[in-house]
Amino acid sequence: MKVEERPPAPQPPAEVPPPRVDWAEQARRFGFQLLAPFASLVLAAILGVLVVLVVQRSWADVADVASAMWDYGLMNPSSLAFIFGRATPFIFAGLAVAIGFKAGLFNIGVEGQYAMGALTAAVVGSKLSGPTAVHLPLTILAGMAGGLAWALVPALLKVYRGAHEVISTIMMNYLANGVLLFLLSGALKDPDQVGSIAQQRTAPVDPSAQVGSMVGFFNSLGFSFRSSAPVTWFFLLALVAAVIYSLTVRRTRFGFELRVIGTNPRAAEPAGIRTNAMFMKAMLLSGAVAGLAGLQDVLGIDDFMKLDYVRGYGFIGIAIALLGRNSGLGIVAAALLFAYLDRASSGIGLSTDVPKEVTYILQGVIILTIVIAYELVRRYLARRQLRETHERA
Amino acid sequence: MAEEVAGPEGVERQPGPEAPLAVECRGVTRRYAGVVANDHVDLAVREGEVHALVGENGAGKSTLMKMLYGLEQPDEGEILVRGQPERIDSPRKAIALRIGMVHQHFMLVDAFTVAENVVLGAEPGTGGRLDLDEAERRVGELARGFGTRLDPGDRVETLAVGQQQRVEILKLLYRGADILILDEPTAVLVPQEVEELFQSMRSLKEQGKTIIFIAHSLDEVLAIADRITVLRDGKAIGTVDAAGTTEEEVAEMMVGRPVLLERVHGKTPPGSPMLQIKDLRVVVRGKEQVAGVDLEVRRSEIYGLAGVEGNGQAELVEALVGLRQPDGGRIYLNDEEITSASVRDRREQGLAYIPEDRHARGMVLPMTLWENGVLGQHQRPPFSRRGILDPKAMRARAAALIRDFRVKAPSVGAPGYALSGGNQQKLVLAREFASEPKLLIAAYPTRGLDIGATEFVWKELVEGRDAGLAVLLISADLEEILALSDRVGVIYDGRIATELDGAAATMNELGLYMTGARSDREPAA
Repeated sequence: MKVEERPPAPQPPAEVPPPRVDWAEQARRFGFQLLAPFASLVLAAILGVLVVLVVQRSWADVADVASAMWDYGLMNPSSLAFIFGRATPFIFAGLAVAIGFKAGLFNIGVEGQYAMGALTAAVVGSKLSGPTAVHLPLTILAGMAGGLAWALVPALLKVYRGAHEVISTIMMNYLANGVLLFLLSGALKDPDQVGSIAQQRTAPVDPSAQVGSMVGFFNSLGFSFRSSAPVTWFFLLALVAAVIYSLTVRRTRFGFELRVIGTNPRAAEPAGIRTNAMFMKAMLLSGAVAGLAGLQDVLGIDDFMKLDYVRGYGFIGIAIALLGRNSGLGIVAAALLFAYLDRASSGIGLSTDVPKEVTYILQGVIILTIVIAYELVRRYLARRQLRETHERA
Repeated sequence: MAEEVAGPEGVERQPGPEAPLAVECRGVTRRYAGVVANDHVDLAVREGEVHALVGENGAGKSTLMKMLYGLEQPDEGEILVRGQPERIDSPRKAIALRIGMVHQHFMLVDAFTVAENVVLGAEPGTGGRLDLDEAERRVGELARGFGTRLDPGDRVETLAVGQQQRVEILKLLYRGADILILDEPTAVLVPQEVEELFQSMRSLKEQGKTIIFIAHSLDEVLAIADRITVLRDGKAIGTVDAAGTTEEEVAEMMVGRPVLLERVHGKTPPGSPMLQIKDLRVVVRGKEQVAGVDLEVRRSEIYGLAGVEGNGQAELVEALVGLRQPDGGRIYLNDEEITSASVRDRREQGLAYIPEDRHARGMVLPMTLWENGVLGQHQRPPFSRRGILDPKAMRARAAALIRDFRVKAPSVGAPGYALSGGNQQKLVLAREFASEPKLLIAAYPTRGLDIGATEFVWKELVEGRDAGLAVLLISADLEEILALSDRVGVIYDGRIATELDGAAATMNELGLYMTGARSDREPAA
């Protein structure tokens, strides 16, 4: 073993170019991100035509479906109002699922969480009254608390017992269903509902906790929605929530840590991030946002919660979060797309001989093609990146 | 250094230039998407020689060997085995050509005996009946044939790593291989085991076997190989006789410039204690993995902790960093007790940590370099204030890290997986140094790095030490421990078996303590 002073190691010339933001590269990457959803929509449309042809064996029906989707789905004076209103719960549900995804959690329980949120909001909305400025926010918070409470059990089970959240949230969905049936047909049933057309539902929400229609606002902008169109100020709240979500994920320490634990929890711990605390926060936040998904129906449209309330938003939310790549903008876009497909399916049911289930098939096809297209683009980008690295190295 | 590890030499036959070629590669080229892994490589291995293949990471050694063993096919060029051009399209074909390969990671069934493992896939017996006695007899014969004391009836899980490696070699011999490819066989061994492996290789050579040996450590290569072929950037740089070359010459061929990996003296004498560990105990699944460790690392000191992996290093490090709550004892950082402080508090107090597994613990590979560049420091200004991140400051930091540590990176916005392993390690190192630590815990900081990157990491550690940093260096690479450490501790079975002066310690001495053959402590009750 030689023991001697080491002469300074020869330094290769500093050839590393100063790193900078490569805007052209950023633009190209963004272009590829857009390419995937576009390609999958085209593919879905082709498959949709094939589905209609197989079911109906007639090109005329394809034309009928296309015109119904265009005329009724989009061009009817009130179409956009229906789409916005329908998109509102989808956006909240998509955001709730996306918060979980960011932390690496698969929150299947949005379905039960928004139902419980709707129930607690209906109770607080109907049992209390007061000035709107107090009662409405309180009711909305109650809805979030309901969703949060339903997410608490899976969160605790995951952090303390290691139970996988997929299993526990699914179980909580069943529980939510049972609890709703039990309460709406019993303790919370509106006693004024009698007679042969009696509905099993809660007492009506006090007007001080009701959320107004947004039709007037839109019509003042030049739209001509019909007054009963189901779009409320919750739509605006949903858009604001999407913006807050985007900023939180990208620009806050919380969002950063969320992404770290979601991508590589083992690297989070040495970085001083408490993974269990983050899992807990993410799950609870996801539940609280889920609690918002059901509120438009209860506080803006029906003014009560009824027995057949459960709408499947939670499962659509998963599809929307996937389709929107967990980005705020993407989730809003995906929610609008799904809302449009819903609207279009009503049009197909009203004005063609084609079963409207065809649009459900179309929705499924779109999700599958999106997943495939994204995976292809992702692999392509990764390969390109690798190649560039090797070329530079 | 070579003299220390090498055994007596000189009596062996060495195949001369007239010896027939066992394997010959002519202009072998293999491309992966855009990358040329092997670029018209010529390789000639004589029958009956030990031929070492050396080169930095990514130089193309493994690709070349995979083609010989049929795991990859060349895009161009031809491979000749015993003078005949052959298309080796599967390991099955390679075995039929009597070529065998021992991978770095053993492929053994732990619960089976030595004999069962060896005959697996080619069992003796008739009509579906396994003749175990016959298997044990044949395996025992083979084992004695190359001078190893292996009991064919022992279960593999009871064997030491070196013995398991011998079982892998037996598997090849049992299948009749006479061209053996060993992929970095010494990487997992302690010095004494390396010497045993070399004895086995010599006796195999005497039986006329040809051995191709991928190697990491140049003194080992010089000790055992007859000839050495150096690969660099996918090209064969040249083949030299081991007897006529030096470590420096081979290193220069590998890197393309002179390299100096030698012991460096501290410029400043060690100061007061920075890290104090008192009677630390960590129990994992009922076993005391860390069994009362007392240890001190001072300012301006590199304390090298040597040991065979699995002797409690991992648990000790986890307890120090705050990833695991110790079951006894105390830890002080800069005279403040941190035994149960959170990871974040420890980092705030000046602890930095280079994790053993940078992919798993050091980086979030899908996230960008500017995000990875502040991981663990993202909680403090200027990177975040009142919970709001400042991407501009983060990007500036990442750019500085990449520049100062010469990380080869496409851009600060590239994801972590765009970097090669060595560059990932450099980024982690750069990040941890940038946190202005008082204590650096570096676990295997050069594992898997090539010579150029290793040299760089060593230099940074030494410079940090000279600037007052206390470094706890955990490594299985004794050369590294001896080159850098002011003091060396050997951990064996969860205890510090001895502490030695870094300048005076020798590899053999460390090896004795690492294997438990010697200890300054009372044996455990």
